[in-house]
Amino acid sequence: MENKRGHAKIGEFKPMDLLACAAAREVRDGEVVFAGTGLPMLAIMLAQKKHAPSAVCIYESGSIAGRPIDLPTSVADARCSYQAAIADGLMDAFGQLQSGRVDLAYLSGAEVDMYGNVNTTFIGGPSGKRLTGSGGNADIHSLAKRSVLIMLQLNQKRRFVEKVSYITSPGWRFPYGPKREWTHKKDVYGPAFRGGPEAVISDMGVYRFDEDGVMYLDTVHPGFTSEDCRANCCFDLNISRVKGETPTPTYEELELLHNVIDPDGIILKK
Amino acid sequence: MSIWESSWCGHELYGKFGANLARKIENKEILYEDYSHIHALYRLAAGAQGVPFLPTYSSMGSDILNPENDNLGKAGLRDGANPHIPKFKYITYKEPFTGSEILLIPAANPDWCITHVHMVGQEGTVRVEGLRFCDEEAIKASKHNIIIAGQIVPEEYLRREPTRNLIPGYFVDYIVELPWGAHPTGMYGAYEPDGSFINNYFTSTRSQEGFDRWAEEWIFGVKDHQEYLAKLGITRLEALRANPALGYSSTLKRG
Repeated sequence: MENKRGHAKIGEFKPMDLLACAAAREVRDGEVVFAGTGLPMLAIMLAQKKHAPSAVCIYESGSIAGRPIDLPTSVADARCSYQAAIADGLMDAFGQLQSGRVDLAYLSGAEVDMYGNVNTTFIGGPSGKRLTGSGGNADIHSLAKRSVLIMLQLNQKRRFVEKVSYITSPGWRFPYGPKREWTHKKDVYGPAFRGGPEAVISDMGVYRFDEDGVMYLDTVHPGFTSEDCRANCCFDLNISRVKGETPTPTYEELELLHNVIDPDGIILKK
Repeated sequence: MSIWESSWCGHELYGKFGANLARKIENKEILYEDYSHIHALYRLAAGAQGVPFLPTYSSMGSDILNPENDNLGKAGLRDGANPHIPKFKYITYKEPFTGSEILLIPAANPDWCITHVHMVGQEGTVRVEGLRFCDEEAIKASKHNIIIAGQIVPEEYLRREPTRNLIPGYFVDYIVELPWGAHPTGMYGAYEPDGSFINNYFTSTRSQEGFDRWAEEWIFGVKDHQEYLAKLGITRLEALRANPALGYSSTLKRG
């Protein structure tokens, strides 16, 4: 595989490979990135090994700018802190976030809506199925300059909903104030407003948000059509701005993912 | 436990969510109050600093802050009768310096805090190696502290390098020496979380009966910590032991 150049063809990679590569491409060199457990760890490590060698990663438990040589399995994993600049605690990590140091954050959730609101607390509202709760999700989503959501979508349209049943983490627009009127984030956060959801990356496509904070389809993963993406959404997805197909992973990216970053198949199950 | 106030309950890659807590919430057997990590952290940090609140911009617009989800308020418990329950879950405040809206998060001062650390001196000085999470805030906010340590060491040893220490002994009420005491979670640089044990715990706790069986086997069925460790077995524990050069195990099979 390592001798081949260019982009892999359909059948030569798995959906998770494309998800990780598409997520990694969101990182710009030199950025400060806040990552959670799972695919985000693959994405930041891939970006650092490819196009963003001076990007640094913060994990919420307090590991700052680590240089892991083995894939961590939690944000508190000692692997996160290998060769880190600092191993401190939540006050440092979240203080850096709140003061605007974090350029890009990776998050996930059980549900996302057209404004990028995320639910990790209850499916079906407070009388429904209980999940983990926010953790750092709400903090990170509300205070990072850009956040990228990694979601599964294929045959799981219930994850792309018109209105999340519980807004754990606020996106571009959400009900606010005593009358709970739908309000744009910039009108709420004052000096702490510095951006919001940048993209949603699923196993079907890459979605972005327009000037009004509404999700649209940006690129479609190979093997799917815009209509497939819309059919796997519970809201009327805007597919009028599609740029084309999401580039497939390159052979170099696949080599890095499977043989260097996750050789044991911890996240990319064999 | 009748009230749970926190920000997260789960097992990361080893299990999807805290199944015992989820069941109690879904069956309305427990009162719960959700916060974000910054909110929960600031409650303890305010408590540790002796101020009534700390301000934050975090999570404005979240349903965590929706008055409909102020469960302690809805239960009539914010009447000031219980000193541990603040009169408001939070306050939205137009602060005078920039004129922006900000949240005031009330202090928390627990009666007891139990912390597992690497080393504690004979007089209670606490050393945490590596990540400190919110250990300092939680310990300093609390009226009483129990420190469980991998090792109790002579005070003189910790005082040779005070920059590596976290908490002075006068915050500490009790010290307990418990090797492998953080199992099935890990201790930075000493041993790793036991992923398969945690995953089995998560699977077992999906039902009350499953949890009861698990508790009978691993809590009530063992006489003491030594018997718990013997039941785990030396092979299992040794696989978790950290390689000192890396800070984590180089022999643990993952994936």
